[in-house]
Amino acid sequence: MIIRLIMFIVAGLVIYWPSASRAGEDIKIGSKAFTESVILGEVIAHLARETGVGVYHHRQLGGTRVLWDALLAGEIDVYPEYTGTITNEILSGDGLVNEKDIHTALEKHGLAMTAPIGFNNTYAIGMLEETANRLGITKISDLRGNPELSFGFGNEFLDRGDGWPSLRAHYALPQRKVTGLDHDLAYRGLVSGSIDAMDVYTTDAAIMFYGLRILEDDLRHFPTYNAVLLYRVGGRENEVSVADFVHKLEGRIDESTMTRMNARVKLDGYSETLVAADFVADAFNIVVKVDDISWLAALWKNTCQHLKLVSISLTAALLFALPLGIVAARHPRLGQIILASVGIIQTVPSLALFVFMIPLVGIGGPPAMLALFLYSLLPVVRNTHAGLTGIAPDILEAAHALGLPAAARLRLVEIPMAGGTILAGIKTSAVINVGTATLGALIGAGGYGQPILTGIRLDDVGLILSGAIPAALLALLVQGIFETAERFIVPKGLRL
Amino acid sequence: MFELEKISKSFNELTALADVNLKIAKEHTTVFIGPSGCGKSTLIRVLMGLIEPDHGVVHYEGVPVNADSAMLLRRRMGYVTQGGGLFPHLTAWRNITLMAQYLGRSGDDIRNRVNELLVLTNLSPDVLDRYPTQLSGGQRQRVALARALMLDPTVLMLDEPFGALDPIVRYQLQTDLRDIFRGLGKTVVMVTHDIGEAGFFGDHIVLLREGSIVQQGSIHDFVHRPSDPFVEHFISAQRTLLDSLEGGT
Repeated sequence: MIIRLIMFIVAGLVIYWPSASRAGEDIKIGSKAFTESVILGEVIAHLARETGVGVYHHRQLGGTRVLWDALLAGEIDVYPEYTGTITNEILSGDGLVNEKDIHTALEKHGLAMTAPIGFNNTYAIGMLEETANRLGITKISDLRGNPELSFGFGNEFLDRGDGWPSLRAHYALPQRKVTGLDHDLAYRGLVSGSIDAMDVYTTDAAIMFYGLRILEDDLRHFPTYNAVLLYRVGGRENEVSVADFVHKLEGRIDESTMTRMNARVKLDGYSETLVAADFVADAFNIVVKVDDISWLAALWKNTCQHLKLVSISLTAALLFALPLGIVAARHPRLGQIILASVGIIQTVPSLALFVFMIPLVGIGGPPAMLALFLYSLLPVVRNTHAGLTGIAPDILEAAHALGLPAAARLRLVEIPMAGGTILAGIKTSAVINVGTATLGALIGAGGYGQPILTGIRLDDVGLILSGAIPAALLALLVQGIFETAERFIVPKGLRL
Repeated sequence: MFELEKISKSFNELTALADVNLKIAKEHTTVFIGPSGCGKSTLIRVLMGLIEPDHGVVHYEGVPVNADSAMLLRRRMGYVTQGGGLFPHLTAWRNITLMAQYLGRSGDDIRNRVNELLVLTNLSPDVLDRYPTQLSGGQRQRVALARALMLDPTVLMLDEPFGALDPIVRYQLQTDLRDIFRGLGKTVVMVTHDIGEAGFFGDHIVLLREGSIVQQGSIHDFVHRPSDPFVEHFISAQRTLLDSLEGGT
């Protein structure tokens, strides 16, 4: 009966399998999880398509480390980066001073960098105009006199070599109330008064929107963050074409152009694809036809991706966890080790587990499936073990007394008797899996997490709900399916 | 049929059987009796190879009962426990026929055999579609008996088979069962704590105390020639209540 269930899942998987085949020759572009990076990624995509090659854009893939690792691993071919991030974060130990140093250092990794594309998006500290006025703060040194202020910094800024630690040391800042939070959520924190100052990017559209005062970097702490494109050299047949078109962008986007593009996406609600298309039309006379993906088509795509993540990881987890649970029930001492091991996996925070998988299997669907697979093990293993060890001794003895061999006892007596408990474990596993799969979007796996992530970035509650509601409905649906399955799978004699 | 040589078994320092030597005769009914914890239930499980003794050997028709041989030997033995030990997830029909179906017996053979067993165990055919929880206690024991007899075993093992039944049902089943045993001419081993039941069924009674055999023989021997004060006390204790009632009327 468990076999019947697995066949049922596999059948569903075949039906819902989205056409995943993308030609291996595609140029793969990456972008970080903030609007400017996604826009630049789309600009690169438009330029690349113009040369006639296939293009795939891994949108809002994650933070610097994820993009850099993906570029080194060849998961992506090009992504937008900032010189300051390269010198102070990625290669901070190498003592790089000027662009020439950077070029040399990148070459060692098989990478190259374009000349600056024209704008400097450095870090800055921003406060609400009225708060800054009231306290008479105009420059970062002024913060020293107001130790009671609370800061909310993006998680990346908190840890970066050129972020909060060195800023604090450089200005000898006394503040103790420092919270790490998502960059886009920090703006809301600022408006609601829960924080007084935050890190901003100087080309952020929100600076204008919220009327923030940018504090003067009077002691010159923040380095220059000239936007550049980082790309792979060699190793791919289409490497020449990458180098060909990426240099077209050099010097073409100045600060006001970039800020305007950010504002069009974040404040006016245009898609990154459209804004990038308008830019390449203006700057290069490239006409890009932007198919506005309908709401329904986007939902369908996310649903397919989500189902793919869940069904593959869950099926694999079942095929692995059921035998593991049986082994654990058969050998009590080994069982303790097995249960402890799958328990430990469960204690790893889900986001961390997703990121841990990147060095092993790259970005996109596979690492997300691997992480979801690991997460789905515990409920199934534990319930299989509990179900099998919980069978009344006289029933087991009766099966022995009949002279049934071990495999037949398992198939005819033990698994049917434990079926309800095992199924409950699978159900828990499936529901957790559906929910956790939304995090897959953080590492480029798509699914319902994609609109949630974009919605948070764009402060668009509707978009967040367009991911969150289907995810919740899918979880309920999965639960319903298993409850229906229970009626067929759990033997009637045990339900009386 | 069975020969036991110096069988010992302990559970966590607690002695269940101590140096038991015993022969069990073919086509007779042998009853193990004794107070709770005397080792009688352990002994019947050792015979079936369900429990492996710490020391000593059990021979079944000359074949040693061990981990390798026990599974196949058990297919020649039928087993009924106090609660019946029926599989709750299977209907009475599936419980009775599970092993025969596993062994690939033909559908006709199985149906014919079940029909014989329904007559033999005095069961009505409509119980076959029911699950154990839908059966009365007496019906459960009869189904368990039919399951035990399905493969026409040489030996029938019964561990307190009437223990969970109310008196009227118990009496009916006891008389039915004795008739069955007599008719079939099978080797029967039964465990009970009731001396009346032992006398009712047993050609040969084995009294155990703290893992050792105190006395064995016919019920006549036990009543008239108890080997020591314990045996005398064990028998008289169970008779006192009835005698006192009879004396009172």
